[in-house]
Amino acid sequence: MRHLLTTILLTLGASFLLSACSNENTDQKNTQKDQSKKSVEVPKNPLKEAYFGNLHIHTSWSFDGFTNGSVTEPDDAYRWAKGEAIPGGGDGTPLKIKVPLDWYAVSEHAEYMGVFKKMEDPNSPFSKLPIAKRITSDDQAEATQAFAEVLDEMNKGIPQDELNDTELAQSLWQEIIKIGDKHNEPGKFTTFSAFEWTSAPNNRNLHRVVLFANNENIPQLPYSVFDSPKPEDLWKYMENARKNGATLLAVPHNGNASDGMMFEMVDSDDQPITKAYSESRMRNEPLYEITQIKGTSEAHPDLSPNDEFAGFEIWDYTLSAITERPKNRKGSYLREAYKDGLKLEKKGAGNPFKYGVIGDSDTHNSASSIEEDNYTGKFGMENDPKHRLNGIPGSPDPLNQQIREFSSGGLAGIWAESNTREALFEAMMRKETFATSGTRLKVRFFGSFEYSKELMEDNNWVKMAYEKGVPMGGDLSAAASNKSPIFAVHAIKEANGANLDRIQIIKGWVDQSGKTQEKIYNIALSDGRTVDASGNAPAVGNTVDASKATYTNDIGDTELKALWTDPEFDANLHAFYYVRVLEIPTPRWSTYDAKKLGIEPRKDLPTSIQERGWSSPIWYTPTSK
Amino acid sequence: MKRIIQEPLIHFLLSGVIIFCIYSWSANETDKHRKIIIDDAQLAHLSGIWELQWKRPPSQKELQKLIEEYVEQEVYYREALNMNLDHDDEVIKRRLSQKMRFLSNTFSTLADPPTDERLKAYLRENEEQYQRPPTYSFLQVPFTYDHHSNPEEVANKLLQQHKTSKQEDHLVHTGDPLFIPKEFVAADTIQINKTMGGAIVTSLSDAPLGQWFGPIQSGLGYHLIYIKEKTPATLPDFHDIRNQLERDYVYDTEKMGRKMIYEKFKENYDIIITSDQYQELLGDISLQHTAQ
Repeated sequence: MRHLLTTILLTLGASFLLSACSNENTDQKNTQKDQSKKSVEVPKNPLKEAYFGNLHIHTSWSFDGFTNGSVTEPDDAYRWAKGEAIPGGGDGTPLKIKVPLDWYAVSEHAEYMGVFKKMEDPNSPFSKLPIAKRITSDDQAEATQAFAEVLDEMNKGIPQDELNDTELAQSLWQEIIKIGDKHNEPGKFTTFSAFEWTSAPNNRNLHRVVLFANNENIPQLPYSVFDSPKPEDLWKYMENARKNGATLLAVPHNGNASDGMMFEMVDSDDQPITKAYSESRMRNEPLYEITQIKGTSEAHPDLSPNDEFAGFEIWDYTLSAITERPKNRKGSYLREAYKDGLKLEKKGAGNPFKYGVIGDSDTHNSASSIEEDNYTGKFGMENDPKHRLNGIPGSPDPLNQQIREFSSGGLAGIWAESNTREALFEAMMRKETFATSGTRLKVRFFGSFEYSKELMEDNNWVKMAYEKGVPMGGDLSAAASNKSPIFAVHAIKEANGANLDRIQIIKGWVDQSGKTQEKIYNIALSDGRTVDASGNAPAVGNTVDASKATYTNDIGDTELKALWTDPEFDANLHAFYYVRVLEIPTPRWSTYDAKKLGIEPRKDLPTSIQERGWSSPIWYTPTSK
Repeated sequence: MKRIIQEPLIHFLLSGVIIFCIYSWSANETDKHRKIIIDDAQLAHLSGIWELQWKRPPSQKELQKLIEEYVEQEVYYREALNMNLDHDDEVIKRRLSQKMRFLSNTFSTLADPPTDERLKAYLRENEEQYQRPPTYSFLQVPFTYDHHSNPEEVANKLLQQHKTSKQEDHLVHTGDPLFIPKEFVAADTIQINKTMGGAIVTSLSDAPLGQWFGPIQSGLGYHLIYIKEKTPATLPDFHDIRNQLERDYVYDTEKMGRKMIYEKFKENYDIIITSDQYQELLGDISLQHTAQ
């Protein structure tokens, strides 16, 4: 019986797709033409705007999204990002973002996408069935009648042998691409086609989201872990797609759950990193997701004991279904990888870890869930504060604890000339991106040997900063002797968010003896605070009332800026610099949830957090002697 | 990456082999003659999938590997079926139920194709949703807590001093440095809210044109504002939003179609509840379908 029903549905599906198909090609071409026409019309700001969005989004079309209670689909995801309310599953509360996003990309797991028999084959016997013509009839009465008959026939049974004659997969992938296109409006809201390659050898996370700049020459099937669990093979697939005219990049994430494998100093076959490896890795994956629901992997207190802010939303687990703690810190956190990258580069092996950063979500329920006071969880079942906080009924407590330790989603900020696929993708490739833990604070970061001390006093300083220097993601190399690099940094709070506490510059380098070092500079402080002789700053304070889940902007600043010269610069040493902006403390999602449930916030979770932003670094490379 | 070899899956498969050995002793004679046939069609299928990914046919070596993988999967799959490992497997149940929903999706769009006529009716029913938001061209002068303990008062004073002036450039050079545009040109309310937050958007709607007013509180501070031009919300022409209408119409129709298909399927079943506890649990259990 099951087969019979499937056959009928497939029959109809085939005929529908067929009829759609004849128009499809021309439709697609038209859309593309329209878009390119429109993208010319979209005004550009050469000094760039920050566009916020997410590219790591699952829905029920990812199998684990479905099994964990998501009731939404890619179409819902895009609607959510644009501000519509969508079904939430869980306790039934709809999902709705407070302030819409600028761009979004659904990136389902590739692993179970190619599940269906190909239905668009013009030779398919399905298309010949008379019922197919009737059901797609323009005459509504006729169509409805046919529809009813089919439903009826399902119950009687119909021969189904044809099913096994059709070949190949009509994958969900094509459908995902189409849905994304429907929601792409250049200048207003941008979408991308994307999928996730889900490799996790022995539950060590090596996942990558693969994102396409546009749908021209896009491969007809994504690449999955069933094809290969090695990142090098994914890059081969990407190179091949590029050779065939596609434009794409990959974004790895959750080094924290990789137990040292994400930024290992060897390749997948345990061979030393070569220059070719580094170049291939960087050509294919310019960005790293530094924060998401499964925690932040910027820095770990064990690796950076002098960083008082390193222990932010650490999610210290592997992907094992049975709670398992990773053992290797090294190779799991980005700051350490930045340092290791310099070391490799110094050795002549290239820098395989020269990543720009974004923040992202990894939601499996369409909504990236970035707002701390509007957190709805990672999976559909978590769309219920009781489940998030007290645990999923029937689920063991260690697993529930993992859910409680989930962070809210992060955001990717992209500095681009316009909100179009082309402009956003180019900015991602040149790493002119920043990450936030979900807040929409904006951070500018420029470096140069040539900036004047008065640069930032001019209203037009951004223009001059571009002209005489490089933005985040850029490179500096040796200038005239005795000059130190100068950095211009500016941060402004999210319009409806919390004030800013401070701006920090984090510097890493390889010293004369070949050892890696890091140092954190507090370069701008709110409320007129100053650093002491050793560079430390007094804490900003904390206005959070945990029992009421409130805070006030009585402390902190609306914006902060600084022009900073590296006081310890050595022109012979490889170095990187990146910016971290901290907000004043605000309630964690779990504190808002406790308030909602009328219970005390849990003692085993922080009641408040300092949300933050991270810029992509600017690297300094000495000119070879 | 030797850990790949340590995959629990491998361990699982090894235990599977052991079970298989035990099982094969007890299996009857005919089972040993089952066939896995690689015919032209199967080969074309395997290399077709490959081509979808790589845009070229597989090499001989690659094809060989694809066949090996296929055979391996098929062997395990059939052995698993033989051992009834598919029975009551929650993952398989969910997978098939998900597949059925996917098919229903395709199916449900067939019922009411989006003709112009239907889309026009749809637009009439949902006019509000398609209104283009109002736009404003205005100047803003900010006053923030970063520079004053009471920015509202500072702004108010300045406004009083210039009360008589109708010239926009009188105030525009005052205020605090703040890294947002001094001038917005035909910006829509969504954009203005993203940049400034607070009460800005609601204050703009009934504010006067061509004169300074305020201070208005945004998420960033207080502002004196001079509106040069405003365009009210407008309903775009049908043809300009036809694509959008079609997208939304199909989305809504699919939802309804899915619901209908589920109801139809459900009619095939008698749902019989024999549980004694059912009455107790009634408050928590819903037999309503969850398809959205």
